[in-house]
Amino acid sequence: MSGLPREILDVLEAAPALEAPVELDQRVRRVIRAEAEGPVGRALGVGLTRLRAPDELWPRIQRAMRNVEHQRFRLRLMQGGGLAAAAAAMLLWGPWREPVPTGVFAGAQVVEGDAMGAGLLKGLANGMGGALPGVRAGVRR
Amino acid sequence: MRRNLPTVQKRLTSVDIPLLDPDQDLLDQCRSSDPAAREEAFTALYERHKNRVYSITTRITGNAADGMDAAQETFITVYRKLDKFRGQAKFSSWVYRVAVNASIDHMRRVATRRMPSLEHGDRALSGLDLVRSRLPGPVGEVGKGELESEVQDAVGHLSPKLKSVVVLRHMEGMTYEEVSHVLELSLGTVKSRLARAHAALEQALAPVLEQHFTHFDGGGARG
Repeated sequence: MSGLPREILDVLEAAPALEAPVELDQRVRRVIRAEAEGPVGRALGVGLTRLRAPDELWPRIQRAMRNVEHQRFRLRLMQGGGLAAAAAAMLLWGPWREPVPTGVFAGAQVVEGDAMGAGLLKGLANGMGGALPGVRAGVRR
Repeated sequence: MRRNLPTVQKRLTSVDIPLLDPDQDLLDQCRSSDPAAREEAFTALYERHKNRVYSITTRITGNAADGMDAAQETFITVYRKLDKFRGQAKFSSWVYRVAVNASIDHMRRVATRRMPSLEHGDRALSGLDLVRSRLPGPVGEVGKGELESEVQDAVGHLSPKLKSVVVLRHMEGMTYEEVSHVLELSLGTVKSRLARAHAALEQALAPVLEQHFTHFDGGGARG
């Protein structure tokens, strides 16, 4: 059925088998574990892996994640992975005051949560050293 | 006895597809109420399919970083939708379909907006890496490398629909039937898309082929 020259088919068919890198194993394992922790965990898991959080920070993130869940904090994905990345970045870098590329915060918005939860996010955001474009924290009743 | 026969035959037919699915046992375990058993079973499914999924996503997206993101999305989607998988197709076909769709979605996303700085570092494979030939041959090696690069570039410029068919059929070595199951297309549609892809590739590669043939003809390397 093919009019494709043999030389081209040979090139296509000689493409080597690709092996999934170990990093994919780690990312999928983390995300699947985070999935079990509910919507916030899900957002954080995706965000963290996108941001390629270092391994040693993962247990601290999980602790922070549990604190956030304790505040009955709800996040809604407004822009695909943007919010997930933002939430993860806040928890990841907020307490440690490391510089964060602001682009990852585009579209982040707290749409629901109690006052403490909102305050927590706001505090983390402010801890980053100033206004973050597109990030709003508040309470919607 | 005679009255029972049609029932038996019907029962065998109705369970035919699930019995043939080599992943069925693990799928059953994934529906267990025990979270540890679920995670273990899903991990086993992941191990079984990760290389093929990564291969598909990397070839369709065209580089390793995007391929890894799309592969991750694939397994998240599979994990979330596992309960809805009813076994109408083989599990592997479903997973590879999710991988194709995740790759296409990912390409659309990165075309409009790229995450800054922390993604897409230095790990992107060049087009050459994705098709780097396993074909030996010191004679004309340079020309071959150029052809591989050009072929990958031409594949990269195909529409997502055509590229998916080329990747599954030629680079992943699936049969027409397998491609048809994965993409949920009729055999006729698979063949017609493949023919369109071939035509597009041939057109794009005509000048390169001409040069390549000339090179080999001139060097006397073709048999």
